[in-house]
Amino acid sequence: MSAAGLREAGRYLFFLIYAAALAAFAGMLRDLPPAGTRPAAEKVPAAFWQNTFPEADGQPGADSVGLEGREIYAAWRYDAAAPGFRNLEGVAFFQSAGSPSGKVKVLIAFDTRGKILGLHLASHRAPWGLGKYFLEQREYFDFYQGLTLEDLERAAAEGRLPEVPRMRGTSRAVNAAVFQGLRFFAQHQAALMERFLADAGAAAGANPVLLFEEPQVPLPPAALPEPVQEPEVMILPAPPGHGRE
Amino acid sequence: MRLRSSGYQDVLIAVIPLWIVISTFLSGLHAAGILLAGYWGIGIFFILFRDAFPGRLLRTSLMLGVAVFAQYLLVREAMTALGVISLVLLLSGVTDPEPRVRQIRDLFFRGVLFAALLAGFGAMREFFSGALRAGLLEHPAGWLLLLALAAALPAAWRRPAVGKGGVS
Repeated sequence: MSAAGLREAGRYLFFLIYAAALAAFAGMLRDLPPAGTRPAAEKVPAAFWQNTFPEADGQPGADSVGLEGREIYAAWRYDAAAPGFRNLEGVAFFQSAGSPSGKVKVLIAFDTRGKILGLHLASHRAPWGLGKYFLEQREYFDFYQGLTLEDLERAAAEGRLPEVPRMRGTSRAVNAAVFQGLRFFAQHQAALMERFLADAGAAAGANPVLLFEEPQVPLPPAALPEPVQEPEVMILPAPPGHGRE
Repeated sequence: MRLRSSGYQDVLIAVIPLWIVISTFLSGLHAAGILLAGYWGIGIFFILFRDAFPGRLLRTSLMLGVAVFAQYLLVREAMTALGVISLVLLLSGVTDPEPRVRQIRDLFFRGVLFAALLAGFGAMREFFSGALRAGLLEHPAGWLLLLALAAALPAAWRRPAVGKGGVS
């Protein structure tokens, strides 16, 4: 065999080794767990989801109480008609849940009877380009508003749990997180109310029991900026000729 | 930095598929980072070892490598198929018989340009959709529409001279 022929045979041998290495790498990939079980590929900042109610302070502090290793926050309702005032309406905490194709962290707020006041998607994992799309599904998140554990269990039994098209895994993860959160609340309702009311009420400087009996009583603004004073409107006399032909 | 005349065009065309799917500056950087790892890895391998492959199987080998990396992208990184299209567009010209030093330099600069464009487009989309709430400018189609309008308007304004004379 000539030198050129040997060189060509060597090239084909190199190609075979290359193809075998690729096949081995592809087989290794097949054995690895899928992407959904790992941390987020695209972690969408919660700022996209402008859910102003309930608003819970994200930082552990005066408004948070520890219970079984998780931080419990105050769920405040800010009154648009009375800026600077807020009503303590319940408690909120983060709940994580994961499925092979979706992992979410949700902030759920409950009223004193265990009814969901609102959801705030803190973070979730989504395929590229679908993260923001999921946050835009307001109807999906509104579904949970006002539900109790019984309502959700009934909806699940009747197959009425919502799912966002193209994001079934993430939707199911949110459903699972809501279920787990509701169950946690149901199991610890007494402790939540007792400890949370004592601490958060003391932090707010008001009688906590009264707050829940009279939810419309405005709290003094604890750490809120002073309400902006509207400037007085001066009515000036109309200039001559104004309003005439 | 001196790119071949087609360098910029290739990179621009490669960015457009991913421009549709990235939503923030960070997700743009993340996508660019993952794709650059594949682009530079596969590119340098084929620039260095292209003579070791049989000539008629060179492009096939490149596509095989891209296919396996695409499997990694789709399975492990949850990347859309558009990312694979970007990678294929970026890798065009890697197997051409050109001086290796120049090819590696082009590979580096094209990668950096790709990452910068992707992160820039991500930041732009984040800004326009977040701060300005301008839905039109969230998608490439909106930008292309505006660019088309900007290109067409001067021609529409340019009226042919109807007559001469008048006020001088």
